[in-house]
Amino acid sequence: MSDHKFFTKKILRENPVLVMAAGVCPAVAVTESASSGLLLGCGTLLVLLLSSLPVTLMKSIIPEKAACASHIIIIAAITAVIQMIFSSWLPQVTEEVGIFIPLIAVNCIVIESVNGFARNNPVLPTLFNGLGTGTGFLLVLLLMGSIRESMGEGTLFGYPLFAGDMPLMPFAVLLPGGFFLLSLLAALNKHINRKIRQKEKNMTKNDREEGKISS
Amino acid sequence: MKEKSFFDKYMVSLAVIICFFVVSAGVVFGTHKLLEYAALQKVVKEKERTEKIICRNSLLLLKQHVFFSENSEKAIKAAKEKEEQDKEKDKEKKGEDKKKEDNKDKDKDNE
Repeated sequence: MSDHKFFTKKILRENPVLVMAAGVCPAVAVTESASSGLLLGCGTLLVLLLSSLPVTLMKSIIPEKAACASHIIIIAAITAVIQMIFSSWLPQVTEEVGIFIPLIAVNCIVIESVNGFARNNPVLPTLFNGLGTGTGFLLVLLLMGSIRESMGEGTLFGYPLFAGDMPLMPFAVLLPGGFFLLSLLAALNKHINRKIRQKEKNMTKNDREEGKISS
Repeated sequence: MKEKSFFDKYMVSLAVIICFFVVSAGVVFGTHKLLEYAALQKVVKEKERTEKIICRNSLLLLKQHVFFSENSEKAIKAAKEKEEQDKEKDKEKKGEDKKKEDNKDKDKDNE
């Protein structure tokens, strides 16, 4: 598999939230507004990239017995750095996201990506995988945050969208609304994936038939 | 064959973990210090900016004060000159009036 396919695969076909159902808790709890979703997504993406790189570079140095502990130390340190940077640059949004930024350190998406993938693969695929996983997570959070905020509060990134005071669907900001939207997005993603697979199957069938005819 | 002790078994792993721990703590501490320095620099810049604004404003005030004081001196001088001129005019008028009265008296005496 070429390296860039690790990136594209993780965005739609193996999306961490919509397909693997990992990181559902922050995805539902934080996406009350688009800005907090974007911040958490960016934080996770940065932690994924910055922790995958040292792990994949030092995989030959770290012994098997110390691997898990070392990886967690690396992830925790990078998460702490990211949290400090965010809280100094964007204190208001960081306060809004709250505990979920330090919790990136124990996010199963990050742990799986670093402990499972980065340890057993070379640098480029690891970077593409981290970038793809982080981007997939970020896109889902951003999409959910935008939809929930615009539907539930009638604003997007704090700017009012509609002329009326009443929001379209106040239910969207609540937790059940988040779960409902997540399931809708997962269903949509599954439908798109199925369509893509069907197309690919048809293409391979056509190729085989053409090959038979020519031979 | 002699069995390995606990320390021999896990020495390398422990050393690696401690190494990572120390490096990570250093990175976090370094970032904290760097951010602190950046925040301090920001505060210092802000302070310098406000000081500059205050200096500029006080300079403007001083210029305004000088301008007003110069103008007021001129105005006072002008007012004094005007007063003197008025006084002179009054004196002249009084003198003329006296002369006229004297002339009138002389005319009456002649008659």
